Amino acid sequence: MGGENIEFVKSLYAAFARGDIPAVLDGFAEDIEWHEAEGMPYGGVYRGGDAVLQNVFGPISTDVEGFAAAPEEFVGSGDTVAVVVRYTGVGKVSGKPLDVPAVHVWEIGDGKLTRFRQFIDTVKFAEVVPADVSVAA
Amino acid sequence: MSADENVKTAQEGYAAFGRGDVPAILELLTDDVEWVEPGPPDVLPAAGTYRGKEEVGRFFAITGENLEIHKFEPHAFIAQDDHVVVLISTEATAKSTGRRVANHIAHVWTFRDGKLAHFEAFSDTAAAVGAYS
Repeated sequence: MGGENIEFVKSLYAAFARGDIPAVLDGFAEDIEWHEAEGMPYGGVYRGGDAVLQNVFGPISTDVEGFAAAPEEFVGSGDTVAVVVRYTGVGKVSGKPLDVPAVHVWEIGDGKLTRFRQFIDTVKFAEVVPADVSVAA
Repeated sequence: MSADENVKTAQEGYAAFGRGDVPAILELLTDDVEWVEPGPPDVLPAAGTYRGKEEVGRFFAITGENLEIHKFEPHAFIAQDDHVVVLISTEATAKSTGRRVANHIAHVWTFRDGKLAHFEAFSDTAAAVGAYS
């Protein structure tokens, strides 16, 4: 149901915010399909929590000091939850503050996250973390 | 207005866009609508924040002057309360360079009394910049 799915997704943002990455990964289906916007330093499609950890969570937390993804709006219907989030932190190399909104779209099956799609102004992110200074480069 | 009615309104908007009927789109907006198109305005001609129907009309004019749109497919409508999130696959050519680019875009529509009060697009602006430069 929409409401339950929103509560579930909310709980995972809360886990991410307190640094409890194992709880976040526990919410992922084993073969979660993760679509990171191509224009991000971490852009690409990843399968499974380990690949997400290695290619996205790890590098972004190195590239952006105090990285946070704070949810501002949850829009759920059926098995899909869209979240308007705000990325904040400070670029480690650039020293610039990060303040960029994004849309995350999650799909849920059997109580786990099965697919993630990210929509973000990648130019704005690159002003804080240029691709060539990212640890993902 | 229910989420279902808002989805219908959004679908009307995309259908009007598909046939180039900008006045029909403007009919769906509140008088004080705020319309946000992401990207660096020095590179992407339509980037910026537009307020009111007249300015939004200008947004569509700028878009039409600068982009040849080959594909514009809204493929998912996620709606709850006053919000509709729409996922769109696009392909377009920047007229100034002749470069064609595919993109995935999310539109977030916020309704007030059945009309669109706030619109914000989220897209891989780096891909769009690549087409213009």
